[in-house]
Amino acid sequence: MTEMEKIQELVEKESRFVDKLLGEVSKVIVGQRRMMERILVGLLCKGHILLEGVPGLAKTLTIKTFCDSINVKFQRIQFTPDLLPADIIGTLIYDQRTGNFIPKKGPIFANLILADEINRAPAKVQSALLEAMQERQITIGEGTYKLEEPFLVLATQNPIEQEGTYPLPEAQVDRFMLKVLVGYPKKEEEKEIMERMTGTASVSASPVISSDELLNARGIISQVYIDPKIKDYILEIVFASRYPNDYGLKDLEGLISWGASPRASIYLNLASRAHAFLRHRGYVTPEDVKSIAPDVLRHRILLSYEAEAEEITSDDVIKQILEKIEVP
Amino acid sequence: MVKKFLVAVLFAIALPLSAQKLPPPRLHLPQPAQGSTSQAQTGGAANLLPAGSLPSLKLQAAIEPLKIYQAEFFNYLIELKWEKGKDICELEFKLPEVPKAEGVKAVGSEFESENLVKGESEQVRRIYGFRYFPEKKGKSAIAQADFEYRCRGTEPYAKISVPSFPLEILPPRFHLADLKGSRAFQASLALVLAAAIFSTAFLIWRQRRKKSALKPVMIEQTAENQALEMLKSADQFRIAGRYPDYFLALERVLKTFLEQKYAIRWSGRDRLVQDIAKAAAAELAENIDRLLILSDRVKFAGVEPSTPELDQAYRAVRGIIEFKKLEITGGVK
Repeated sequence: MTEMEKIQELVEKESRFVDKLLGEVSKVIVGQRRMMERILVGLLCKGHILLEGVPGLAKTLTIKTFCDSINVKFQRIQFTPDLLPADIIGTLIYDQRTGNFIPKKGPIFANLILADEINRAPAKVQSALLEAMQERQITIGEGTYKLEEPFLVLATQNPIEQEGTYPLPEAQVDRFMLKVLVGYPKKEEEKEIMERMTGTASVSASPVISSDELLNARGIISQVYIDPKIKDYILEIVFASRYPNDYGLKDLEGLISWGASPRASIYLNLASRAHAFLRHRGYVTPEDVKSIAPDVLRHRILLSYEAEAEEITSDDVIKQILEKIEVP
Repeated sequence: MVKKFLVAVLFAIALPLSAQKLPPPRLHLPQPAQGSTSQAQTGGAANLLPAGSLPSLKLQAAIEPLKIYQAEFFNYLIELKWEKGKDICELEFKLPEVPKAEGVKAVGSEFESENLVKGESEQVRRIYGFRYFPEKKGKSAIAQADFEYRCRGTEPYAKISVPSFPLEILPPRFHLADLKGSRAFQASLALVLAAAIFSTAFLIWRQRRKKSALKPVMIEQTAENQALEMLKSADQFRIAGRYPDYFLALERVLKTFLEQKYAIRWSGRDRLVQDIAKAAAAELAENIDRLLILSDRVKFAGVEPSTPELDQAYRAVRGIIEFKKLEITGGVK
């Protein structure tokens, strides 16, 4: 048996839970397959996700259902302008019986965190959360506490209200592995949602996998084979976002202020492996890269004022790049 | 300013060509004479020196255009020039009468003045322009033109004249515009235009008909032949055991063929398979799907394909090309 065959066999075996998990979540959530897969990619790659979509698209319900299906702890934090860092990470409180200060852990001590409307809280709160996301540990007083794995933050941004918000700085947005746009369901899907939610039978998900299975799968992701041709393809995509003129994308010149950072190459590589894993494949294909590239790149490509004036989005730019770069 | 420039340009063009036709001018000294002397001029221009502080006036006349046709406007231009100096007074002119001509209607007049400074000397240039409309052909002449002038505020006027200017008015020229009003012309023009439109439309229709009759067969055959040739040349990679290159070549054959034949763009495996199923047959789409999965394994996972797998891949590509061939035969019938 060749090395590749071994990897393939391992991936096929270890990725069995994917269909089981997605099937269980789908008992509650209608459609939104893309969002569900991206959440799994985040869970498998230890990457955090920024969700963007109008209210009422089942963002919270999806995450909660994932928690129910994996049997991990879920916390939802509603970000408001008066929120303090201690409201998230916790604080020291005085114990009258012992006369000591004891740590009171905040809601961040959970596995799946939904940071709802992250742009409503001021910068110091956002920084506290993002630091925790990066370090995966919290310091309260003199004690440092590791956050339990799996640890995934899903932050939402409401794109339709801009007043009274504190938009995340570009450097902090870059820390999110994926930015997923959640769209409206299709007509048939919405009909199904209507029937499920107004019926008498209650819909809920039960645990179908353990968090250990998920953590075990994380180890497999790094073994998924990625051919040098695919690595080059990833680099070409990222570099095209920085120097579009060198790649025959003259139309994009002047539209991009800043191209994707090196984090984009790293995450595109990782996310493509996870995507292949979700398809039970032990190797990455260009289709994996193409499929995940918009989610990895859309918040990392900063557009110019000219682009904004012409109502060109980063998705339009990514589409052009993917069409131009030759698939290996 | 523009008008002034145009008059000057016209004069500059017309004068050198027509000046020789100008008869010598006559001098009418003011009464009483102030000691001025006349100076004979050659080549159709005159130099005049009125008495006292009056300056010496140079005079030139010309017509524009040089050939005058009946019913076409022309200009009669007269230029007066004199030097300004310490001893020279400021001149004032009486408005000249428009010189008449037989068989020619005077339609307007204007004049422009300008001061030309060259180093320390200063020259005044005054151009009179008279506009005429010749009503009859044949010989005619513009009557003598008189210009009366004096030192500002003094009496009396001195006079300088341009003698009668002979004209030869040629018969009218033919103009398409003249025919615009005639019914016969309008009718024939409409007929010619209609015939031109009809014949152009007929030619375009015939050409398109020819093209549409030829196009399907030519393109279908080209796409098919090209694909088969590409498939044949791809075999060299299989023989050499360069399997990733072989599958890359097979994909290229498919890509080219599908784009040419069905205008199917290569946009992801799932979409491509769906498009093939729609355009051709579900069975062929399944074969292509299997081929693409194998191709990915060979190209990106370093898997070496077995002989049956290689044959299957070849047959999948060939099958879709030959499927189209049958369809074309049916189409021709």
